[in-house]
Order: sequence, then C-alpha cells, then structure tokens
Amino acid sequence: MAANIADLLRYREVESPLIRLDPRVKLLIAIYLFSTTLIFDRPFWLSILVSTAVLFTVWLTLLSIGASRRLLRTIRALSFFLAFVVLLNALGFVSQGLNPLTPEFVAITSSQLMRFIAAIVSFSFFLLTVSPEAFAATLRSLKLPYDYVFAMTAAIRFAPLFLEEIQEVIDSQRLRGVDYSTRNPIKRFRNYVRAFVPVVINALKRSFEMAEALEVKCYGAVRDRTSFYVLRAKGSDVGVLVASTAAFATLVTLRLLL
Amino acid sequence: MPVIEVKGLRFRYEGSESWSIDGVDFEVSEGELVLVVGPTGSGKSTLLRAIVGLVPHFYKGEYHGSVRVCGIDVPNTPVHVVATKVGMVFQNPETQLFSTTVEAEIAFPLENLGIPRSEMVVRVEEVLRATGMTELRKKNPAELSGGQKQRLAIASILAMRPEVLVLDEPTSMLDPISASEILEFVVRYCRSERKTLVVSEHRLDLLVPLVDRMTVIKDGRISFDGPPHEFFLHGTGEEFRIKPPRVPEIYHRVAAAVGLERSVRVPLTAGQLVELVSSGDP
Repeated sequence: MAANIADLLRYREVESPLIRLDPRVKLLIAIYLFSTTLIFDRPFWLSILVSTAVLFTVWLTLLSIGASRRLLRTIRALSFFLAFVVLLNALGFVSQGLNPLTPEFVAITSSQLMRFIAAIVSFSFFLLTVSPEAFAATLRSLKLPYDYVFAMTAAIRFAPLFLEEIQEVIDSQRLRGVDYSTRNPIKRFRNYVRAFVPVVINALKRSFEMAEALEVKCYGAVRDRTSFYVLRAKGSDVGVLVASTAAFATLVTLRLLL
Repeated sequence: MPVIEVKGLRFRYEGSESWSIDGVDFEVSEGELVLVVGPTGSGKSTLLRAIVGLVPHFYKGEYHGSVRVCGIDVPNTPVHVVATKVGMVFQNPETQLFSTTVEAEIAFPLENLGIPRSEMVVRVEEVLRATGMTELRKKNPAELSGGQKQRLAIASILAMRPEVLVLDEPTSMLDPISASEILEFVVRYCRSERKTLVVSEHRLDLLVPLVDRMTVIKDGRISFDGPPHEFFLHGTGEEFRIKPPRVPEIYHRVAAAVGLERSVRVPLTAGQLVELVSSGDP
C-alpha cells in the first residue's frame, strides 16, 4: 500500500504542451475548476452536470500526459471520505425524521459526492502536471518564505523514501511472524504500533543526517537566496490564461443569471 | 604551507565520558590525497567533521585545540563559510539530496549562497561535464542508481568550488563496481584540479594505491601517518582492525612462506607485485 501511495506522489516528466504550460497558469486553472464545483451547488442535476464536466476536463488533460490512471487511483484513495459523506448525509436525513432510502436522498448525495470528487481532483490538474521544482518556483513567486517552500519540496522528495521504509519495516516484521492481515482491529493496531517504533527511530536518524548535509550545503547562509529555476511566461501561457479566465467569468455570469 | 592544520585537538561529545579525538596533530598540504583509516568508533568521522566545522558547531561537546583550514579558524567560523572552502560528502547519498532534478541539486548550495543565476548556470554546466552527468540533468535523483546518487552528492559539493574535499566513507552503501568508479573519479578529479582530498574509507584495496598518505586512527589518536607502503612494510594492519588490501596481504604471506626478506617498498597493486617478482628482488 505504501508503495502505491509513493507512486502517486512521484512526478514523471513527459513532453507535452500541458507540462510546458506556466505552473502559475495551471494553478489558476485548478482554482477556477475548484471554484466552479463550489458555485454550482444547486439544483442537484446542474451540480452533477458541472462536476462531471470538471472531472472530464481534468481526466482529458491528464490523459494527454498519460496520467489518467493515477487520477482514478486518487479517486479510489478517496473512497473512505466518500463513504463518510454518504454516512453523514444519511444521519442528517434520519435526524430530521426523513427516510434516506428515497430518490431525493440519492440525488442530493450523488450531487455532493460528485462535487467532492471534482473539487479534490481539480487540484490534480496542478499537482500531477507540475514538477516539484516548478511547484517550488510557483510558491516562491507567491512570496512564500523559502523555509516553507523547502519543507514542501523536501516532503515531496522524501515522502516516497519514507513510505518505502515503512513498507520495508512491515515486510521484515511479517517475516518475523507479525500478522498485519488479522481481522481483530485491536491486534492489528498493536502490530502497526510495533512497526511505528523502528520507523520513527529511522526517521529521526535520517533527519539528523539531513540536517548535517544541509549545514555543509550552506542552507540559510544568506537572506537573499537566489534561484536556479526562474518562471518566465510565454505568449502561449498568456493566451491560455486569458481563455481560461474568460471561460470562468462566463460560468460565474451564468451562475448569477440562473 | 599546509591547507589543513589540526593542533592538539581533543573533543568529546556532550554527555560522553570518553574522548572521541584525544590529542590529534594532523597536517595536509595543498593537493595532497590522504586516506584516513581506523576501526568503527576510532574517531575518523569526528576528525573529518572537525575539519569542516560540524564539530563543534553542529555537534556540541568539550573542544580543545585548534583547527585551521585554508587560513580559516574553523571553530570560530560558521560552517557555511568553511563549507565554501571545504566540501564534505557523507556516507548515505539518500539524505544528502534535497532537490527533484539533478541540475537543481547541483545548484542547491549555490542558491543557498546567493550566487547570481548567470554564474550558477556556468557552474552547473561545468560540474555536470566534470562528473559525466550531463545526460542525467533532468532526472529525478530518486531514479538514479546508488553510485549515481553519490556522484551527484559529490557534484553538488564541487559546484561550490571547494579547495579541500572531505569524504566520510563515501562508498559504504555502494556496490563494489560503483564504489570503485566513485573513488577513481574523485582521485582523478583531485589530481587534475589540484584539490586536496581527505577521505575515510574501509575499502582499502581501492584507495591505498591511489593516495599519497595514509593516516591510521585508533582510540582517538593517530597511530600511523605516512605513505601506505610504509604502513604495510611490517604487517597488514590487522592489529588496527583494518581489513588489509589483498596485494600486500598476499605479498606478506608468500614472503613468510618461502622465508624471503621483505622489500622496503611493499607492492600495493597487482602490477607492482608482478614487477617486484619479475625484477627478482623481493
């Protein structure tokens, strides 16, 4: 499981106009897509229609860079939260003395589920198409302090390693007879705690080594840090920006008129 | 004039009762290649960290003596200032790489030093060429092999153009082929650029024939300091828990078996051994 999550976090460079698009424009498009799912909240058929359109747009764009499967896996990873939304809705219906087994419940819940998925997935448009370096450059262009930017890029760099290490610990304990597939939740929890200790010790050791390496790489030496990657918007970036802003403005106007 | 001058260095880590380094005097001249050996816990890593200033700035403890590198008074200078003169590379390449492309990793210390972008581009190109990583520039370090990762860790340090290179067991996590490639590259680079190298290493077979000097540390003190062939003249270093290189070991075993008087210059490579045997003067 840890390896699957690690794979989701790994950015893969491919040659595509979408990849070449300025990351700031991609961030803005992701915000437009997210906002669209939020503002079209009713009637339920329209919200389902808009959310499906957003999902389809993201899927098509990711298909163009061969990342559509990762999108499906992201949705699958959300299944726990989706089940939670259904449960909350059902409880809400029951608490108001309404029967959840009605077409109305199905319509409202479907609309909420679709909006939830579309809202989360809209950021995949940015996260799955932007290299961590471009991601960092985008955050820096937003004037975020470098310490936070570094923490985020280091997390992207080290998360797969950390997850692989968890998998190694779990595998080595499995070989020593620890049962992680037991149906007893308490036993299962205790077994995971057993894996947690070596993982934390390794993480602490690793963070100490990283701190040492950062020292000799002069981290924090000067206040005015320079950047190797500099974002430069091209004519095509401006074109996409204008077109997407116009499309979003049209959708907002439509929403206000409906 | 020595580039590294360590005088009367004593250091013990906070909370420790024993001295990790106990009265060490150590000098290295410009362009010299020095191999530091000794068993685990002998104080090798502490000495190397004292040269770059991690001891006493990063590792706190009781510190006596003086360390000067390239004229810098190390204990009274911040690590990032010393690091521009002395580049240090550690054992584990995974914890030394912070960026998500090879070129960004090489540029990382330069960004930290506030080097202008135009200068950075020049240095990144220069280091990519010198380390043979030009083709890998856009690769994610996570996708590199262990040897390539360590080469990248070295490359990013070389971008700072240090005068001294300090490597702490740089091949301990690598396979034999990668280890040999890394060490050969480092030695070749230091020789051609006239850089000073201090390296601690357990794989003596690879380095002993390539360095100028060998410094053996035991219990925080220097037990031997001189040319490698002198060290192997009277034995193979087993008393220091050092795994001897194969050639001097074979030489001593053969010499003992046939009762030959030992040569003043102990062979360190297979070629030297063949030469010695062919000359008929063992």
